[in-house]
Amino acid sequence: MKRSGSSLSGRLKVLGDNVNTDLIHNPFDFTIERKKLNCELLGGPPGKKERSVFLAGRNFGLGSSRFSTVLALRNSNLAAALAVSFSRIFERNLACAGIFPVKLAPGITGTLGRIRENDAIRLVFSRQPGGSFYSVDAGLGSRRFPALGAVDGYLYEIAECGGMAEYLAKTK
Amino acid sequence: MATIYRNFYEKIFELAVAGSPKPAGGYYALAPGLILGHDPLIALLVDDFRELRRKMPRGVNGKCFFTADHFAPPSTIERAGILKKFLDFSAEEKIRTVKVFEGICHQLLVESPQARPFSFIIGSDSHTVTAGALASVAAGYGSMDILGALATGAVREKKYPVIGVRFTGKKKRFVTGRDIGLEIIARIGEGGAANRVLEYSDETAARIHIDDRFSVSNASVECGAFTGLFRPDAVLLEYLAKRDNRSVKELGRYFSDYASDVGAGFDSSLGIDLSGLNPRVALPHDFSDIRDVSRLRRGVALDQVFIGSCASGRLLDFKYMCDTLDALGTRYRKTAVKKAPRVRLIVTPSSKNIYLRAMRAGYLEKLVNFGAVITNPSCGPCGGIDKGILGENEVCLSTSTRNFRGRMGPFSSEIYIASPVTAILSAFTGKITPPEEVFK
Repeated sequence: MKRSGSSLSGRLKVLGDNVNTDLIHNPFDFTIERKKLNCELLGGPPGKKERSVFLAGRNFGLGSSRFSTVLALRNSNLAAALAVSFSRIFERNLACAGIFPVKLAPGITGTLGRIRENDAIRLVFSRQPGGSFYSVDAGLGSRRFPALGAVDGYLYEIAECGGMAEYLAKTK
Repeated sequence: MATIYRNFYEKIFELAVAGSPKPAGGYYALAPGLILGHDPLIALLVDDFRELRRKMPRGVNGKCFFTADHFAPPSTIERAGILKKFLDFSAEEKIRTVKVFEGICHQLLVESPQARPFSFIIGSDSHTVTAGALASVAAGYGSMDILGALATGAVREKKYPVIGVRFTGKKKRFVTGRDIGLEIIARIGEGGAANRVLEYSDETAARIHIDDRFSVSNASVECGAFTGLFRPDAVLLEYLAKRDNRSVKELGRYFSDYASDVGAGFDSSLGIDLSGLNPRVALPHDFSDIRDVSRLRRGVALDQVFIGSCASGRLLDFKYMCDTLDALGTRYRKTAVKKAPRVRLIVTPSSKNIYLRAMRAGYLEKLVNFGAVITNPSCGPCGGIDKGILGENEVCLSTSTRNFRGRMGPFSSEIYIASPVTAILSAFTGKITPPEEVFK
């Protein structure tokens, strides 16, 4: 991932609606040995240098509260997840693992045009007055999508720290 | 100044607010009355907690309700290590309540006087919502939010809109809480209550049994709801009086302080007439296709039937199962019916207490004679842990929480979700069978 200030870039991985936590990381692969966790949807163990960004549909991450699921995503270099909507626990878990959960603006998916797997995407985050959310502008190749979506302000702060453990350490 | 009428959820939420009553960035700091934790997901946060080099704020360890229920007992060396890490942490932090192999955390919680009505309960498992049947705001979180609660004594949370769900009508005797839960998911949709609260109001004449209510609250999370709580009423009052050895009169006074304000409304509402509800089944591999069992294509052959998990496996479910066996016996004029030879039948009581009560009531003997394997109270095959994993291309009818692809075995396996009545009847025929065929 190339990351400077409030932006990040990665390669898109496109998912559909209702992708649940068991599909993202099978419960049979649960372990607390964090280095062993990885996500097959993202090509398994880390090794590639480039980061990934999910583009998902409705109700992304429904199901389990297992934090191992998002640790697997982090280990497999997921930097952000864009979705029409998130399951509540999963959205929080993503941020707690240092992954930015971006809710797409209503109706935006219809304007994105043709999206291909592995398209390069760049996300730029801007804090909005009051800090209750960060708006997200995106660049997809030569195309620009201002106000593509938003990240909840509290979750952004956690993800920006690198996760909840780091956030707690910082806010002692 | 206009009077603000608050519904029940709003009242409990206000009680849980710690510190400033004004939200920061839309979030309130909420102090949970109870923190539920279980072996794998507490073990997952131990290293982070140690690295923070903080002590739990005073009293937080007294609010913890920890259970070893997932790897119970552990089936591999790695899982034994996870259990040990959980137990060592619980001992080092002087956690007040640690229950080992006594049952599924959500059932143990609702059996405990520590789980009080009108309280805010958080847990390291998505099905923490089960305790909503105790008129509590009970919600699941990931391990790192639980880490935050252990380190600070609070979680940050938003206040969500409320969907009022009103139950009316008399349910058929072979319709269970699991069917009602499936109906709610079908009506609201997977994720249809995302970032919403479901507030249930039982206006049926017969009143929904507390065990069925646990199953209904449990299903709330599949709609995406933050919590699914029942309004306090006589059913809850009687349950708590018995559980906590307190008088109904004493508890009744306590209850009257917390009723929803007359005139309090909801952001939206839904009515469910239980008299029209038939046994329901969720088809693989999610909850997008839930239909009447009678409308399923005929002859879905089964390899396994599993009855258990935090969605069922309660004493009332054992009664449902044994009433079904009695009905089968009457219909086929046999003193003892047997399950289909090819089907494996696994039955898991959800707690030690239920195990013993089912034993005393004769339910276990009847089920064992039918051909069931009774396992120790634990999560078992729900979540693919142990004691009933499926093989390639196998089909299971389960009363458990979820039917996601690969949850109980390989990706080629299939899970249908239905009630204990449908499950036991299907174990008899060897294929998914509507209860209406026996209970006419």
